[in-house]
Amino acid sequence: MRDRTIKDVATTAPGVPALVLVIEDEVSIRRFLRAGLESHGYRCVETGTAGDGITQAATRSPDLILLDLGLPDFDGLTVLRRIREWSRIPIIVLTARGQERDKISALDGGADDYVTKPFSLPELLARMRAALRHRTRAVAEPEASAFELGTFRIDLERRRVSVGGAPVQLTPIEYRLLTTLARHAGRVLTHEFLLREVWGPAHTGQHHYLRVYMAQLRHKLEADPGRPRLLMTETGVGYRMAEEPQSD
Amino acid sequence: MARREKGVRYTGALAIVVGVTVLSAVLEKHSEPSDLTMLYLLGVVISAIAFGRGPAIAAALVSVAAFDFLFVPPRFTFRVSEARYLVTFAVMFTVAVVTGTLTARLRDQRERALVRERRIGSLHRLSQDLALRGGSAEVLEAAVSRIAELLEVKVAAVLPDGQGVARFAAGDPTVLEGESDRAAAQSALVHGRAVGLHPGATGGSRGVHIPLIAGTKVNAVLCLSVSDPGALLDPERMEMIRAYSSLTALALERCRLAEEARRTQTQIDAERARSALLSSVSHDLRTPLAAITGAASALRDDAGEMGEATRQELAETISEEATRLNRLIGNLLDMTRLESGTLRVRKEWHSLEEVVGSSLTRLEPELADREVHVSISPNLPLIPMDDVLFEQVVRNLVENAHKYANDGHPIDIRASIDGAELRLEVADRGEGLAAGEEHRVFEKFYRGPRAASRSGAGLGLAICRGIVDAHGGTIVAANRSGGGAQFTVKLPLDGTPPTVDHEGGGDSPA
Repeated sequence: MRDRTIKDVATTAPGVPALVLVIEDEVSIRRFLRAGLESHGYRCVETGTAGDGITQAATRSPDLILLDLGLPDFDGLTVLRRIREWSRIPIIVLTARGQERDKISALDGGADDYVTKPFSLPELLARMRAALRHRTRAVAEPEASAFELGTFRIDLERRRVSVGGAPVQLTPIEYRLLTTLARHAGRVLTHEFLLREVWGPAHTGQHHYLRVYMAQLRHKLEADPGRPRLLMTETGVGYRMAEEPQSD
Repeated sequence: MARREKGVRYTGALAIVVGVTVLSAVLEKHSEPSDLTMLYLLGVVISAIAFGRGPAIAAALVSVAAFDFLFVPPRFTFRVSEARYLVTFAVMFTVAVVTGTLTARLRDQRERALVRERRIGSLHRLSQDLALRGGSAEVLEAAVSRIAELLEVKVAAVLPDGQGVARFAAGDPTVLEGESDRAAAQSALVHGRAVGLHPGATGGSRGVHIPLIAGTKVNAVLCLSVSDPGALLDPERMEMIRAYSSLTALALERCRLAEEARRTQTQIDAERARSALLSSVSHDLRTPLAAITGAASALRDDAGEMGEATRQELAETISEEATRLNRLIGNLLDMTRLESGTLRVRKEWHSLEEVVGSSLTRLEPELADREVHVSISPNLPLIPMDDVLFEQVVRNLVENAHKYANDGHPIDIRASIDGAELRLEVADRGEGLAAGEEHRVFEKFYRGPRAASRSGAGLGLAICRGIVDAHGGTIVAANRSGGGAQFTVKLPLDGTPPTVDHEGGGDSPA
């Protein structure tokens, strides 16, 4: 797992640095993103408007798009919808604090992830890696046979879950919830998405199901369920399974 | 009514004369006729006292006639045998009229004094009543019901709305049922002149509409509906109505001025708070900015003589101070949202363990090696709360505890159910609160005597209280036994948590 993480940092195809399209109107943020991304082996294209952003997304075929939600000409969510009409390029939206609704709309509208301004470069790079890897995996290896993080392991073929080598007994729903999160490890999944995937469309809106089952999973899998390292909460938005070991 | 009363008075006077005559007939044998004149005079005086001037004069006339007819020889005729009796008659009549008139005047004066006293009394009671009322709505309500009671008429009051249109404000709404009554009230409001004092000239309105004027402004209109418009013409009643109206107008004006004074005071307080905020905020904003500017310019101007460790340290400073700045701006925004009332609490059933967990995860970089002991009862139910906001409460409380706790001592977080409430405690081992600080710590921009050495704008706990209040809960601060401070949040549970269908199958996912 760790090996592949390093290999995936900035390339999608062997030897070619990944191209990132930055759609953001603030010059200072574009400058910091360009400097940061290029020093980490990415190539960068920038634009300050939504209209140009859509054109660039079509003509330059980037590997990933960083999309600011507050653009001068029109709404970032519209850009997202337009691009999603014809492309599945990974898109990470840049949002401001306190806009949980926007985050959920963006994720439901097809964004792969979000970062909240102000964000640090390592935080952004981690999200980008997760988004790129997920895309690569979806294309190259549709179904991995196992998921591992630290001492935690899911054997997807034999449907076994273990922590530190010791098997953990899960109910069918707990297992389904866990594997849904693991399949999208590193990415935030909204409450509605998880309810639809695990319980089915009849249960959307019943967020308390998720809270109860997440608590059960944490008590079975986390060393300290009160301070999770594996099953992370994205308050007001959803849940995320950690993909890289969280520092203690 | 008045005529019948008049008849009664004259009949009474006559009855007194008849009584005196009967008494005189009994006493006649033992007394002189001149003594009998005294008796008749007494009868006239009593009539004057009891029935007034007219009946007294009538009594005098009848007395002279009866005396002449019955007791003056030749008896049972009106003829007079001796001339001296004519003098007696004249004196008797004159004395009767004079005493009657004087007595009647006294009686009138007494009655007028009584009326005046009643009027003054009622005005006094009204003014006392109005003085007790705090707001103009209350004043109107009290005045309307008092006046209705005193004058025995239906009374309503109207106030001008934003566009200056008369709107019913207090009293009996039936007074303004008619279109013409409403038009008359509107006219009184606009022109500041009483309408309906001269019946017949009011375009169909049977009411009287009196503007309550202070200075040049009409504050309200009193509307009186009278079944007998003639009765209002009585100058006495008119006088009363005027007196009541001006009292009410004065009371209204007093309320208006008091309200204005309060508003001004609030504005002054707000202004003062704003300037305190400005000076506090500008200081708190400038400090991290100064550090960032300094560190960034040092890095920019470095010509290669700076060591890698120094560069790293400067970069670290920029990052830390920017985080601090971000927190401060976040707090200011939260405070603004709380105060402007735009903060929406979206309650859902949440796991407290999860909310506390994500607060602690977010605080990890700041807490560094501070230990946090979390003790949440494992069978705690889901709690109705807004997770985003409540995470903020926990974060601010833990951050505050971390700031004031002594090094090496853990922060304790405990949660339990206490009756129909969630009870969450965040406690530290530090210097605790100074006397009297238990409430003040929740005031915005309050920074305790020990806060001087710590960063922060004094907003964190104020935001906690704002959010907890918005949830319908309470938050209190107290000193902890054994040293340190403890903050206790209580949230109402609002009914039973929703149930979750548990899986029927076994424990195996296979």
